[in-house]
Amino acid sequence: MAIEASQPAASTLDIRKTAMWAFLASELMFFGGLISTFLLYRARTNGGPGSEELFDIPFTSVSSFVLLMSSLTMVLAHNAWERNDERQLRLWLVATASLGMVFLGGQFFEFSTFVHEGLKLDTSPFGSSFYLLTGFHGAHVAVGVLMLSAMVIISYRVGLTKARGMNVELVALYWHFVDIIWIVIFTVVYLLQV
Amino acid sequence: MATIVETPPVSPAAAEPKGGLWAWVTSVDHKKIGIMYGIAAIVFFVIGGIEALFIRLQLAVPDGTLVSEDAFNQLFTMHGTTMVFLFVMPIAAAFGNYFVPIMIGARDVAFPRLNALSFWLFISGGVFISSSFFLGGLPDGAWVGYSPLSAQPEVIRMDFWVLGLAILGVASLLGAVNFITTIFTMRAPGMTLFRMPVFAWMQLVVAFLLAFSLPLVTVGLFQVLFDRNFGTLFYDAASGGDPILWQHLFWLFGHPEVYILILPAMGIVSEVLPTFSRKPLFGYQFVVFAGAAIGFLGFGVWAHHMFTAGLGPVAETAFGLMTMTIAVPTGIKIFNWVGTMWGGNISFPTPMLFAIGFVAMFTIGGLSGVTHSIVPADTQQHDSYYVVAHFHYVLFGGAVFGIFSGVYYWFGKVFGRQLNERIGKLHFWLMLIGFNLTFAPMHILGLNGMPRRIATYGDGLGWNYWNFVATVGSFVIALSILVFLINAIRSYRKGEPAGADPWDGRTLEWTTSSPPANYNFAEVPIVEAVDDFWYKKYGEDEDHMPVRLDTNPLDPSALDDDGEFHVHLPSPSYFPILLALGIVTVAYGFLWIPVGFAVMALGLGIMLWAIFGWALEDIDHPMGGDDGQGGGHGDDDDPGSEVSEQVPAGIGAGSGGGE
Amino acid sequence: MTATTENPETEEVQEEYADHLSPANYWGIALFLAVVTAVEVAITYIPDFDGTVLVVSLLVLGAVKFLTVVAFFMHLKYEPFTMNFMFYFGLLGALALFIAVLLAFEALFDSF
Repeated sequence: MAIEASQPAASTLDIRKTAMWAFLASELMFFGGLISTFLLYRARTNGGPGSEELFDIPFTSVSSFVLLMSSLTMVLAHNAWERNDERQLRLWLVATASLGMVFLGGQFFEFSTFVHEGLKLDTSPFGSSFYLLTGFHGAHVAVGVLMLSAMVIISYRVGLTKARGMNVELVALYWHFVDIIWIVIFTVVYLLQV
Repeated sequence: MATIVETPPVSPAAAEPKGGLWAWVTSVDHKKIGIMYGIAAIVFFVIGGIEALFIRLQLAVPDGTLVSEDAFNQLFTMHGTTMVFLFVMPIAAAFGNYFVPIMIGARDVAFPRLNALSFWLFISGGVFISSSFFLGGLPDGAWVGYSPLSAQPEVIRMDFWVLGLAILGVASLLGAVNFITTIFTMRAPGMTLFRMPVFAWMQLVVAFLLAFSLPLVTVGLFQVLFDRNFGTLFYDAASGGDPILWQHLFWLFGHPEVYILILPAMGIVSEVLPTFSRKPLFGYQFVVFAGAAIGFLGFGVWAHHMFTAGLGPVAETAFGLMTMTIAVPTGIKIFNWVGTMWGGNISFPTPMLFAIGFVAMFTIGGLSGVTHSIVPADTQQHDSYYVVAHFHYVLFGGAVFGIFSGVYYWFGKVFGRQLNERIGKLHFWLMLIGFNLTFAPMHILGLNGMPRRIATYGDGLGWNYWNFVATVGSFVIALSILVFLINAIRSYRKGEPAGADPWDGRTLEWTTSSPPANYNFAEVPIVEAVDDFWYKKYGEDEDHMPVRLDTNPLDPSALDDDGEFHVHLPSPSYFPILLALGIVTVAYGFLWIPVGFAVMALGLGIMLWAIFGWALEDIDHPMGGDDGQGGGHGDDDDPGSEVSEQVPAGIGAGSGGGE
Repeated sequence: MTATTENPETEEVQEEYADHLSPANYWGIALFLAVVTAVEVAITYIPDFDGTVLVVSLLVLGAVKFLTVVAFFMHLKYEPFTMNFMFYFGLLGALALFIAVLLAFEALFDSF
């Protein structure tokens, strides 16, 4: 995809990593906008339920822990890739994707509980902004899980040796990013309630 | 030297067959993409201009009856949306795409297929928004789409606007990432950041502005979209939502956006003025830093568009002061441009006329802008024609004049034939006169109380005369554009051949042939200074006057050479256009949910096909790949590569066998 | 300057990717993150620990986790200046902007 190898250059920066970091910086602004909207609207419950009634901190703590550990498995996968240990790579990739899916399962459960208890997308600005923020985050996790699965498939099909470009590294950066956004969300949305 | 190249020899001609729609549709070459951006942008420019003419005809006399109020709302909304998103931004992308890689001594951008995707998303988004004309009416919520008006779900039009802007936003964001990466990683040896042409620097600043501002308006767009379609309450005041939030999110993007619109033109002018003054740009580093400062400060002034929204005195004071501060780096640039010309050996071909016109007209626009920074004054000016005058002076007198300066400067390089000078001068003078005739009176109209966005005005308010003058002026502008189009078509066919360096230029694009070869440079240049090319042509005598050296420092591809050159270029691909098609299909499907779910599914399917095809293009065909991996090369993508080749002497480091 | 290197990227790859941390290190960092998370959750249950003190503590703990993942798991500590610049510029910019917007709504302190 990149043609950097065809000419000598003034810089030794890796092309794809540079692009990924630029993209992640931009995504920070995106989630920042969603989080700010939530902060603005967190108390505007329009007669519907609010965070105090709804949030189950122990439950969310567990799913946060799950996502956090998925960052560990991700970095172990990356480490295995660097050592050209394809077996370990696959193992940790599968672990990461699985933990991601557990997290998503937890989100689904949490959302359906909230809907049951009266908080829908159109209940209040609080509801709208909560679901938009966590929904987008969940969508990012889902895309991450898809990419991880694709990596596993590619690993079985043609192998993910170190010479094959840095797909693992890029997916890892994306995955960790999704995790750090959740760190912010968990702290600011759940722990710091009104 | 045959061992360098493991690729079978590829002549520039065979690598991308010139003819054929398919070649253009699947092209990943930054030059072709640049040309397509440019042509599409000019088409939208004409459309936006026609919309403006209708507006002016309606307002030429009091109580106009040419168009209905509903039609008028659509006209001014689309005039603004088209000009901003479908003309100025894409034409800056046209110049950026074509010239930034060449200016930094690279063969293409970092991600050629992503580049193609950005272009096809632009086309999709533009067609998508414009198609609303046939599908319920054009968007009518003004180019700023303020809530709660924009959140009213009854009419489908604003859904076109929201989704269309979202698509265009993705296109620009991907382009921004591409350019940041290209400029940071692919500069030729010796080309430090501070030896880059100012135009390249401005594109870098613009890319950062895009990357950091687009996500914010995207949040707002999703919020409006969901309010319109899923009943969310982001902007519903009765339930606790706050319409002002939209204004903040929009202008957090919208203000950096106006710097995104002007900085490329400033970059162009920073190239043109030194060339035709035969002097280096005065204070190169100051111009660069000022550009970066404008970009950075541009994030701190957004609420000056909201001085009448009830922000409170503290916020208003803060933003007013910040806005005044931006005049400082802008002023620095203006003084440096003037300083460039001062004492220079100045000539006045058409690009120079437009560049000087830019400096003058933009300064006027900047002055009215400074008056806006004074909060009590702006409270009167807001939403009046005074604002319309201000932004047209900076956007038309500024950006558009700068763009045309670039067009006349680089047309010969891109198409091999120069634009006609006499017709060009006619274009310039008509445009200058028409432009001032149209927009200068609007200052007066605004100060006399005429509001924006009104379809008619009553007789006896004192506005008749200047409205009429403005309308006359707008037709003079239209005439000048017609003159330009005639010039362009005529010159493309039988203009004077340009040669490599028709203007005795200073930057690397003038070392290549006109048009450049597919691979841009036969020998990757080694750069030793700003304006390196100039200093390879000219030394100095004791009085510091330039003295032509006995050198011919053009790239070998520009010299009359029998040799072809061996390089493996990124192969064409149809996945970018396919992905764009998939995305816009999803958008169309969304408009008619629940019936549209099937269409959305189809679109999603196309997207997945395109994404997997794109990703696997590398893995299954590393030969055709441009993924930086080593390994064998094949010629599955290179038809007719059996051209006899001679490698010119001296080709060494530049040859690309590392794919 | 020869471009004949078969796999210039692989060589660079080998140098750049030489990991600075071992798996054991990563497990250790993960343990640290888990502990911080536990502390965060715990302090929300302590009744006397509330108001500004709670807010500040949680923000600090959250920031520590955030920066730890960024610096070590995402490897940013070992990356060139350019990448650091882009990320932290975006981060600080986002923080500044959002504090400004929330201030404009006079909602900054209400929301905590």
